[in-house]
Amino acid sequence: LSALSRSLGRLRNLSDELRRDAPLAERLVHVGDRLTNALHLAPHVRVSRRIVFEITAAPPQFRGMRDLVVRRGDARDLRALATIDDTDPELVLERFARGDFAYVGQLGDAILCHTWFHRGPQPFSEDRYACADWALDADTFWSYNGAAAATARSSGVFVKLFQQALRELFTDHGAKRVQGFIHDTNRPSITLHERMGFQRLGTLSTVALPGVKLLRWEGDGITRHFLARRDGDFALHLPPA
Amino acid sequence: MNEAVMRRLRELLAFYSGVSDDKLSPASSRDNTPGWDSVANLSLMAAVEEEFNVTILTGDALELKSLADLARFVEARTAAKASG
Repeated sequence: LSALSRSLGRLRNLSDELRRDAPLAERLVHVGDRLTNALHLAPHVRVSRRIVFEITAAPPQFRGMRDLVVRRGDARDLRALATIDDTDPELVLERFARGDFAYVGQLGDAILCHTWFHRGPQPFSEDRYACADWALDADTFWSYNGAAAATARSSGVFVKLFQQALRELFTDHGAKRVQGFIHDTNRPSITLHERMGFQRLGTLSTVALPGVKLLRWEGDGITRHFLARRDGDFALHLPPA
Repeated sequence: MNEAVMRRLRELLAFYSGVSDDKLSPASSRDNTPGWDSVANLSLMAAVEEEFNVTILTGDALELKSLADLARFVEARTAAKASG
């Protein structure tokens, strides 16, 4: 009975999603995403829609929480970096080995939040299987994997961390732009990026199947389609030429 | 609870969250008020510090989850200042 109830609930969600006031393509992507999860097809099949953002100048300075220490993280922070959002410690070490920047927000001995940046020109490839590699210029940073501990969510500590980290990238590390994506269902993160001064470059919809992936870029009046090998090193420049 | 403090806190939260002042009450919290997100909360804490001349440390901010919490905090801090 509980399985039947769960199935009915999922069908109702799908039906609600289809009736939602949004463009048809967007609704279909969301339905596809839910179906693949409900049918346990993920990660072999992944359907997703991501909004790509960019910021080209340091964000405004938010006041408050002056005692939160924001600093570059390093391998000594491995445990906290792996625990906050359940990341494989090996992956954290790989990120440090390739020179990615971790920033952490610390109160006393506790690390409350972290966020990561990858510097071009080496493409960022952690999203290869689900989406694409991201092609980056030498002065472009890719923003990824920001998270706060459960006890600190929606408190503003991550905002403080993200803002100070971005300011440091622009003032101390020669950033000309910082790019990143957000799943289009992640409303709090979209709001945060917009208030921080990020601009939307466009939307990338992806259908990833065993062996192959289809990408659809929409932005600034331009639509582009790409077909690539699922695990190939196809790198997408944003916005695509 | 001091009415004047609560009224001013409601005005500040309305400004930063975009939620109408008359929809806010002492029970309004980060969990039940849609516009009271992380950015609004950080801005609100800074505004409360300035408005009431109190210091809100990060540890305090983590615990202040509703308007009632904030009002109690402000009253306690201002009373401590007045007596000390």
